[in-house]
Amino acid sequence: MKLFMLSVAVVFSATFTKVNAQSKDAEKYRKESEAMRQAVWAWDKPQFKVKAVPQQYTNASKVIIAHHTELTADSKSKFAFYGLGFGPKKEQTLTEVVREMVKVNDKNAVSDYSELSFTQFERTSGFYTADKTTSYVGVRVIKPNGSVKEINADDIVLTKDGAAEKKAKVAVPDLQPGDILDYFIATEQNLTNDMSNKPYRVLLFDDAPILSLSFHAQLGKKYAIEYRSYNGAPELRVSKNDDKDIIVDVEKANIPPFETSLWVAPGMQLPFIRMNISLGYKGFGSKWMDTKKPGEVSKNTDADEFLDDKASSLSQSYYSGYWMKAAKAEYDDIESDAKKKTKQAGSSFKEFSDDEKAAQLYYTLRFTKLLNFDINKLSDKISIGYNTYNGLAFPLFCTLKAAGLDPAILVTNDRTGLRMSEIMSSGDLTTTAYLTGSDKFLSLQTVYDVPFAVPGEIEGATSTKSFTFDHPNAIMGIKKMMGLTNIAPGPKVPTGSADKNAHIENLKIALTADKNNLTIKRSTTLKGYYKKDEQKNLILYEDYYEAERKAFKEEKPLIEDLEDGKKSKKYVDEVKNAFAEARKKQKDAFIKEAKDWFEQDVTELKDYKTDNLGVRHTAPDFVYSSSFNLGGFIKKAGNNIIVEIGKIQGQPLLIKQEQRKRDIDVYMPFARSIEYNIQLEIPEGYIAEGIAALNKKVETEAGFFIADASATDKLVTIKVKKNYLHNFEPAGNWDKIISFTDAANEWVNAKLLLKKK
Amino acid sequence: MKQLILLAFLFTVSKFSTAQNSDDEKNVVISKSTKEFKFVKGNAEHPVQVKEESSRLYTCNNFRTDIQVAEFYNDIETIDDVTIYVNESKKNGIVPKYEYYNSDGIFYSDAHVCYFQLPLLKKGSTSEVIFKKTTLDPHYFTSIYFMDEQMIQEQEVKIIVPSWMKLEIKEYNFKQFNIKKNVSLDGDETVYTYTMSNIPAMNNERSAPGPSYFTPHILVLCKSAEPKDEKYVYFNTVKEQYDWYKNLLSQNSNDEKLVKEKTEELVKGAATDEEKVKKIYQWVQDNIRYIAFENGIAGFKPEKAQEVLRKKYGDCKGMANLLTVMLRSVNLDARRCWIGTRHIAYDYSTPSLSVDNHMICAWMNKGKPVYLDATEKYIGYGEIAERIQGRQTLIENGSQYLLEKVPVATYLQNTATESRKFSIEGNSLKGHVTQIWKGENKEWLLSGLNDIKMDKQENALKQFLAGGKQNFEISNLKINNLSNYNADLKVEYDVLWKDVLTAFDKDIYLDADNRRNMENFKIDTAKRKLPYWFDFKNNLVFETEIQIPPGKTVSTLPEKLSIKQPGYSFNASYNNVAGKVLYKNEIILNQSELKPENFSQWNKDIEQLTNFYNQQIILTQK
Repeated sequence: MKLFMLSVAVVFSATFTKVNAQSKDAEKYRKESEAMRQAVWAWDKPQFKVKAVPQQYTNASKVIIAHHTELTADSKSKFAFYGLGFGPKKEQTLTEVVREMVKVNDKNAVSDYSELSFTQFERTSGFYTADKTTSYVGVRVIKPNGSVKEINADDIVLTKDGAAEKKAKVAVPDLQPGDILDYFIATEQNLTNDMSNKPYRVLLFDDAPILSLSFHAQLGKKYAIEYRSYNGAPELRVSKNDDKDIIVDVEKANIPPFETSLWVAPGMQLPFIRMNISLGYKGFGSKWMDTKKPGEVSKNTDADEFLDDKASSLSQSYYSGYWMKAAKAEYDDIESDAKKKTKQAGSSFKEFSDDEKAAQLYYTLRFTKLLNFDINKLSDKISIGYNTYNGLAFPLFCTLKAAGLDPAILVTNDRTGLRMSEIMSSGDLTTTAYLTGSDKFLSLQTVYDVPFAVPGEIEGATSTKSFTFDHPNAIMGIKKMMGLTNIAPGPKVPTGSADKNAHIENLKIALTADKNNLTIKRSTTLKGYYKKDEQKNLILYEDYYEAERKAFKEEKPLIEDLEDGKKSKKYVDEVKNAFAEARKKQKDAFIKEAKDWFEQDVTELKDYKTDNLGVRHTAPDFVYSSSFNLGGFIKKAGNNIIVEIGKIQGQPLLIKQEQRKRDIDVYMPFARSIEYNIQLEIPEGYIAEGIAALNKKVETEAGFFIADASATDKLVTIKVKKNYLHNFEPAGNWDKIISFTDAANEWVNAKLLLKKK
Repeated sequence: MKQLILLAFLFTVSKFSTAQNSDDEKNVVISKSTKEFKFVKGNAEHPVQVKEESSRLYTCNNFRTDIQVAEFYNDIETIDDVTIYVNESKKNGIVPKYEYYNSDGIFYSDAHVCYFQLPLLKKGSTSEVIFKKTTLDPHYFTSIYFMDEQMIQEQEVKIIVPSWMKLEIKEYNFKQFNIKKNVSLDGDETVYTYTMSNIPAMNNERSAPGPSYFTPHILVLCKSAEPKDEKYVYFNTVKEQYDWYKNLLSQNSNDEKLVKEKTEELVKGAATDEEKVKKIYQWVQDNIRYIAFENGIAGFKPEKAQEVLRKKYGDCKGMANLLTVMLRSVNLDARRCWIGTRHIAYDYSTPSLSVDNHMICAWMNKGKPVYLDATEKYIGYGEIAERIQGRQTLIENGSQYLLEKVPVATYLQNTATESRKFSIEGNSLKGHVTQIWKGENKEWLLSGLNDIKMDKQENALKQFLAGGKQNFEISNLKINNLSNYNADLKVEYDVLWKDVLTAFDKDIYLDADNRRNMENFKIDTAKRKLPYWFDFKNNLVFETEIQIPPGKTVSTLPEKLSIKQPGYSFNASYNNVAGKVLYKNEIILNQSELKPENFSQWNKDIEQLTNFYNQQIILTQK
């Protein structure tokens, strides 16, 4: 889909082009630009006549005095010759003008607005379409004395000057703190036979104060629109004029700046308006093309409509991707492979429970389709941990179904996206395969996922649907094909507790011989959603492949297998070299991980290894270990030694001063716990003091920070645990989060004394 | 100025660099490289041109992979042909992309890049890339570098010079490489041939000298040419270079009248010439944004002064030109100065466009130049940035020129002082802090602050002063001279520094220095090969006075630290005087370069400094 919405923010950070003053195109463009500028500057809109900003914003970096969008959509039908014959041709012209008048008060704002980039011209050609996008820009600077200076064409340079695309940029002259910048970007899109839905958003929040924000659209009578206001955004006013054009308006004045970015779910918390605009079409196939009637206006369309869209699209996938015998064969292969591997491992697939079967199928699919070695994708395979997938709901569903299990696809919203009742597109929905008997989920977003883990984005979903598919012997007609999906209420999705997403550090600590640093024997366990970032950094493809091979009781290691192959033996040396290179880099990855975690200097790293890869549901934790020296903890005081043990946390998350006042709910990624189990060896000839002061406990209903310390003559034992108990907290609990995160920060100063006897 | 970009293309092609640029990654090497440059007769517009044909044969040593190949071009240097062989086959489907090259800090230039992914199909296979290029004007044909992104096993560089072309070749950094030179005559052509083997991959280290200091290369100094009847003189001596620059200046019609009006408004009330210069200089610093247009000749020719004044933006040349015209408009003797920053190894003894990359202005105060660089946005009058200190500069002087050296400032120019007076309250220190920044330390802080939104500045400054620590609570913050760069930047504030004292039994332990300047600033000697260049010479002074509460006495004070080396010194001490602990720590970097042979000593000294920071004061009951 072509980008319909031209975001001002994007425009200001993108790249651009040059005007070929010689060409006719350039001359035409210049005239059109001039006409556009005259038209926009002549707008009779009072908000663009305001020059003063309210007292309260004198100190703001910038103030958006007025922001207005003017959208027009026009269409006409023609008959055209396509080479194979004549056919209808629907031409559309979509014009969007975004004008903003902003007071720039400081150097930061001047710098933000001093360079403006835009795509001046873009053409995409296809067999049936010859589409073109042209952008125009106007910029003028209003000085404090009221004088107005407009940029001229000489200030525009082209950075791309192709036949299909021209990109341009402008350095805004004479822009200084205290000035008002009045600029617009207009985009005209010419589209042919494009019936697709064009999503459009009007955002009613910004990190700068906005004195006036408005939107006006005039859509030709053949257009259709559906719309919804989110999170307290004003309602759109939609009407029709005498020509039956659809007129859309919305205004909002005095929008204060929005600043909090920590743990916000914009789709559920910030005001915006969303529209779907499309060229209406009612005729042959319109039902399956999901087109609207010309002139149709729908407010707050029921979510079921988009669920139906999803059902139709999955019906198509089911028909072509599973019902057709040739397509199903691939899933049958996975099943027979899974059976073979089960037998190889000394078990019987037939005797497995459904859950066990599902897991075995999952592992087989992962091993044969994702982890499989391919010499032509050598670099890609070595860094396979960095690949991400969309959960692979449909292939997983098909794999389970082909093996005679009873799977379904759970369809719901993303927990930090939009509310289920407020979706406006089937693209707002997520899909996850699950087993209907046990309600266990199967998802593959990275190669490290394990069966039966709930994807983070659907944790706690209550408004869910379960999709299954009819499988008749014969399917006649498109209606039947598109209607294979059965929609039923889905199960509630559980939410994991803090201990399921854990980062646990087991640390055996002593002092180095010179007593200037710590020596650390470290074993780390990562659980749940904490795992995958480090798995991708620390696990080698070769180790992963070999671990899975052994789990499947495959006889030969990959390298031996390649050595035995007629073709592969020719390149086995390369594979060995590539694997050796990756292994060499693993040490650096371990050092980097330790440095990043402890935020101190890490030296003398040795004995580093992955102990449990955490890629099987039967052993799901990722465990790795290493030994090294850690700097930055020891202070000397005469003959005594102070160990700044609180620094073991690095810099824990700190709620900053400007974030402490909060009136919106808190959407965190997941409930989680961070734990340190420390055993510090007391050096010969010293005694430990200050143990009691290490104890700390702050516990709230949102979470806790607890440090527990005790000592014997030889050993100080400290257990530190910080838990965020939930993935969501109401705004009222904000102080409760602050209290235990502050406690963790205070404990950074915790010290113990090793006193010379 | 443009040269800087050209040089940057050679070595900082961040978007286009591959992972193959370190010594230990020898999976892909250039097994054979040939470069041939031939001066040829051109056309009326470009009578002398340089044709280049370069071939790089890449060999895969360990495992198959792709590398990115990038070649830069512009209005003067064109790419005429690209031939690509993959495993000796031309049918490889590779289509090079040609794009505008977006270079950091340059708004618009004529720089373009031709790039593509080059596969190496398997271990032992080769891929070859042949570029044919033309440089349309010998002025711009200045240097040939012998290093590449990959290690080069064998390389031959040939320069073919017909008898009608006069040039001089200067060799740089050949010492540690085995480079052989041969000069032969082939008819009326002189052929310079350089052969070499095992040239390591280009080393991209941060805070290092520019490549002209350490990579093997030659400067080609084009003197003159007489391809037919007419003689073309390039830069035979620095005089011709100066004349070329002057000619570009004379093509600009600076409108002094327009500039004069603004300048007179600025200097109103200024009693002395120096005061006038200060006002004009700071106005240009404050009001002209750095936006560089480096397309074609704009890379060398300053924008008209009145245009820079109108647009309120310009590059170094535009700012220097505007400053010059403004100063002249009020009868002050101002000159434009060409200069190469310290990243360039040459001076004007080798006249070439490679020598300079920057332009500044000099006010001739009783015949003595006072250098004004308006691209240094927050430096004071009379303060000079490290990057131009000691550099030779070509100063405009009518039909002649002056060659002068920019003065070298001492570390004292950049002194940053922090003075604290504390009393002890429970486990906290409470008191008053004064911090003063001068020179480039001031400039560094002011540029950071001005990059932050006005309404967030105070908070950001507080967080910076508190080192991001929650227990360092700042109040009553006063900032002086935020916008007067000719005075020191000074801040004062009260502090409640919580939980900084730790009581164990009857003793109180205290760590008085949370700045810990240069702590752990070690150089990784296993990886670092090039000298380390500090941003500037530095002087960091940190003083603290702590009042000892009644009933307490100092039982242990850390021993003093005193390290003095030729390039730096660390001096720190604690004293117990009249019921107060006095702590002073002064770090002096009196040279901005640390040479590799001194890395080991530096690391030892840094370790001592770090160990010193790790010593605590102990107070005990009387």
